[in-house]
Amino acid sequence: MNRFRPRFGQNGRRNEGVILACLALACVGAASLSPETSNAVTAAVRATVLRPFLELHQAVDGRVGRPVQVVRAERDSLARLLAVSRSLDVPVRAADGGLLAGALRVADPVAGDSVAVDPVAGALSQVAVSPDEFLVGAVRPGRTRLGRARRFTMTGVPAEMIEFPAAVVTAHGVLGVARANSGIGITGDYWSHPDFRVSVASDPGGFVGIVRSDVGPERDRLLLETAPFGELVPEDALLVTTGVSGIYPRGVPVGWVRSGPADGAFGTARLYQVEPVVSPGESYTAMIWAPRPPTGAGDESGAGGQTPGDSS
Amino acid sequence: MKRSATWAVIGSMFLLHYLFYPIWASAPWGPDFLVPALLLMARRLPPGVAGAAGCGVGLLEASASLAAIAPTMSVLGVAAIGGSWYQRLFYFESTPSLMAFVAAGIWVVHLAEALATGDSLSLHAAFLYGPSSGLLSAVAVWLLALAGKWLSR
Repeated sequence: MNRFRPRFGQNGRRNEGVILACLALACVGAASLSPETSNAVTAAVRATVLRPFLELHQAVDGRVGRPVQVVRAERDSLARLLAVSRSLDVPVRAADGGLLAGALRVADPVAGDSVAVDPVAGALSQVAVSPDEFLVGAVRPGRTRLGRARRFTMTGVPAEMIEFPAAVVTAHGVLGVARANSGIGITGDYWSHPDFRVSVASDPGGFVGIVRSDVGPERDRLLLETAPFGELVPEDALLVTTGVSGIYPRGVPVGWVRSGPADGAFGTARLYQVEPVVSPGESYTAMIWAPRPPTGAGDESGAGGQTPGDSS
Repeated sequence: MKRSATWAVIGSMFLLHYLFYPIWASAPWGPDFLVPALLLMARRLPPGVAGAAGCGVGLLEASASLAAIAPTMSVLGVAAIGGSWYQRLFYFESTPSLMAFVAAGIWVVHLAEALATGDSLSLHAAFLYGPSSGLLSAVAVWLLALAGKWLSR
């Protein structure tokens, strides 16, 4: 018999049974962990055993990543877009695919273009936007081998400056939400994650709804739910964040309405398919939004209230 | 191949997996070193110990890939136990059978991992990327084994 072939006696079998029972218990225990505890376990493993590998990957990323200047220019451009949106009290509006440039052109009153009226004005204008509030980092997808990435890690950003959850955006629009400090870097969810929700306003305005992920067999899309029943949302309308939760700055593009409506649960709302402006599951040099509380204000100012169903 | 060389090859596969993790993560059709290393290790261990090793590797992998911890631990633990029992029931040492074991094992484990973690699995991922990854990994293992044999001379 080959020396590698396992052999078991009576005692060996009993010990094997005990080990297997312990393993089954460990797996059941792991399954019952809360998301916070799971994040803590993941963070601990990443900060210890995997740390040398992750630091090496970060170092390589820093050498081969996109030039930081390009991303900073995009960040400044996005900040300007949002500042225009806030000062005019209107959502941004893009006529075609060139979102950032198009939105700036169309929303800029100097250019003489029309702007749409935002129905959710007032409570939303507390969010201050300056380029310094966007921290640039590298987003890398995390996935099982054959599955699609629903979560990501973000590195190059000082995690201690972030209040979680926090918005993660690219120059084109919403990418996802940062959830926790993972020991080395930050972990977060792409918009395709089942837990993702964001409140949006249509452009031109008229309603506010909640957008969530709609996972398909070949492709992930977004679904606009809680759209008003009596109101038709035009196809190709651009949806932008309302900023109600304080997690996302107001006016960041989320996606275009592509089809619908279909009746939602209980027949009280309509559902619309939304084509996202940013593909999930890819690597990006992205920005995380870390707003600073206004000077002289209490803890509650600047953050806005968390609305039900707008967890991200 | 000497026993020490076998363990060196298995260890180097674990190392390669985590060293080049960003590359493997972005190429689901590419070779995988983690699962073959686990299966080859499991062949040399009793089922309980192999299962414990599989759960440990599952925890590491879940932390690296940000997948759910419990399903990943369970799938890799069960895969290791299965690898150990398979070797015990159908004893094999020849290179072709070893490569077939690795290729099929990788495909099954990747499928099970995606299903257990609740990932939406597309047809091309299941029937193109999975087998491709299995075959490429089997070839990579064969090359590593050749290198191990050459080094252990």
